[in-house]
Amino acid sequence: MALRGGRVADEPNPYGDLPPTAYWRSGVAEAGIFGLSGLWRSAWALPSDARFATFGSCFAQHISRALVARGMPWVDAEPAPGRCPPDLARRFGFGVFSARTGNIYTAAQLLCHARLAAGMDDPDAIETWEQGGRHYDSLRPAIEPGGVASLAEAQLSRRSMVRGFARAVRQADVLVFTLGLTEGWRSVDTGQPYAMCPGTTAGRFDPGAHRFENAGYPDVRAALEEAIRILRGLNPRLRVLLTVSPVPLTATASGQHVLVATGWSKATLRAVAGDLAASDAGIDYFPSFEIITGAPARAMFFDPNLRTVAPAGVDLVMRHFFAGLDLSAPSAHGDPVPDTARLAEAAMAAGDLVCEEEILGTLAGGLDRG
Amino acid sequence: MAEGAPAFRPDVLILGDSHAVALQAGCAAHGIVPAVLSFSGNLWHQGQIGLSPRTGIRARGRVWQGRVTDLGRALGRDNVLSAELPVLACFGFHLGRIVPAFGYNGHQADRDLFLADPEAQFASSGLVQAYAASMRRGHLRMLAQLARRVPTLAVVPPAIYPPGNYPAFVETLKEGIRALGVPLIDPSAELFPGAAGLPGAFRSDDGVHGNADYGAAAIGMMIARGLIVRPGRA
Repeated sequence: MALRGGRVADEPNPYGDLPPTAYWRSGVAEAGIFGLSGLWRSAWALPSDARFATFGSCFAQHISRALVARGMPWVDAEPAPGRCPPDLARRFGFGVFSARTGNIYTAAQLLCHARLAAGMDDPDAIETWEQGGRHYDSLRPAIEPGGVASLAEAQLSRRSMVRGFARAVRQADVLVFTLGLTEGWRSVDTGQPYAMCPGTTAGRFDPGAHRFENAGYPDVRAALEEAIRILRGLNPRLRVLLTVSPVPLTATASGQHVLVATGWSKATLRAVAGDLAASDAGIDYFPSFEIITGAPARAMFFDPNLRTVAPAGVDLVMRHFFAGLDLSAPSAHGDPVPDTARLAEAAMAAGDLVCEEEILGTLAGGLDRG
Repeated sequence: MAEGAPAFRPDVLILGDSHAVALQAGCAAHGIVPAVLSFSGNLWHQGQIGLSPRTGIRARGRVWQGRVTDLGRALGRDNVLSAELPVLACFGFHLGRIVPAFGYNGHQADRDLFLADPEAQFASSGLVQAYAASMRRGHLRMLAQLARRVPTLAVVPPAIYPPGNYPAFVETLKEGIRALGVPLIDPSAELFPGAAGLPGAFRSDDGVHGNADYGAAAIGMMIARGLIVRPGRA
């Protein structure tokens, strides 16, 4: 860098005319966490009534909630039954994401959902785990408390989710997808990715049937690109806003220390998201990861477990999100006014986030339950 | 009210909603004298009816509580409930107040109907059960408490509803009642097994209730099974 003795060299150079945000001292150190500005500007001028669909890891749920709380058109393509009590709706995975996918932690999972939504794969071919007479969808084992009563119900419920996911993609102007993990588990036989390692939330682990995968950059990128290509087949005008969850891994099966594994995983996801955003005008990246994990935050937004993000952090992330959002294009949908009943119900639903991965923490003696 | 000589000595108490009418007619057809306390399904749905240690049944609102008081007066006591007066309980379902709402967003518990409608959402039995419980937990608790106090037979309303979610709600509520240990009978299902709902000849003109013939058949079946006792046969 063309800096000598702490100042910009006298000779003309690319750093001479940069804005304050380009310098760490003025952009970060002096601004402080609450003075950060210009972190993100939407790559697109979206219609004033742009519809957002949200999927991804646990952190994506915050984006769903913030959009709803602000009265933005959030796509709820698999809504709860009418007059459903909010706590019951959340227990059954309604209103958490734009369809009842549960958490989609990995790019491989997103690709799996995209293929199902496009009719490329048979939903009934997805594994269902039977345990104690109950049946669990391997793509979303915690979507209903205690699983469902039969294999047939599990398959019908999955078909319903696939319809909902496809509807969400078709209805959305922007798909907000939060990348969570590179680590995951697959079927040895079929290659099907699982939402969770069998034997944690449900199912039984079989080292001969289940294999661990820590997807590297090429695999994550290829899966994401393929998923987005398929989703654009469902909705050619779909824009994709990628984020990376700042929430560390609950546990790693990589053999590394979980801190190191987290760094690797997040760095990989961050790099893929940035490169895709840089190479595709229909893809953008929103820096929630940097806001929460960056040095200016001094980890203050993490709960005492140093993992989950406290509401103040979420608020700050969403302030930057809405500050950078460009809704200056003309209305595209003629949406009716926001559904006030739904907004009211959502506001009442201030329960805990639904995060299956938390279950891994309980396997470590409940140390991570905070 | 002072305990006095009863002016009215019923054989059963029919406690419920508008489906009480058919059961009342059925009792009459079999020479059974019923006392009837019926309130609109809306009142039941809203939790306006409950148990009372003093009057047996309490209803919010002077007019509705007046029905309880009137019955007590006829019975010659404050408390309309008595161990000697078995109760036919036709409350706790009130499906018209919950099933349509459940389907507002396209939820469908019936496999074939779900598959036939691309916009439908599948409703698992667990979801139906949880939703029904959230809406009817208080009613089922009241049934269980009632059954602990007096001989009680829960009577399922006749199957007069469109296909789809109604049967799933009926079944889950029946299971809930049975799980509480409350004796239960489903007359239309048992009288007409395999039929697609209550046959037309047994439906009232309003299209949503059983008629007097249905009531007679239902009460006749209860008598035949010894679930209620005809006067003079005890």
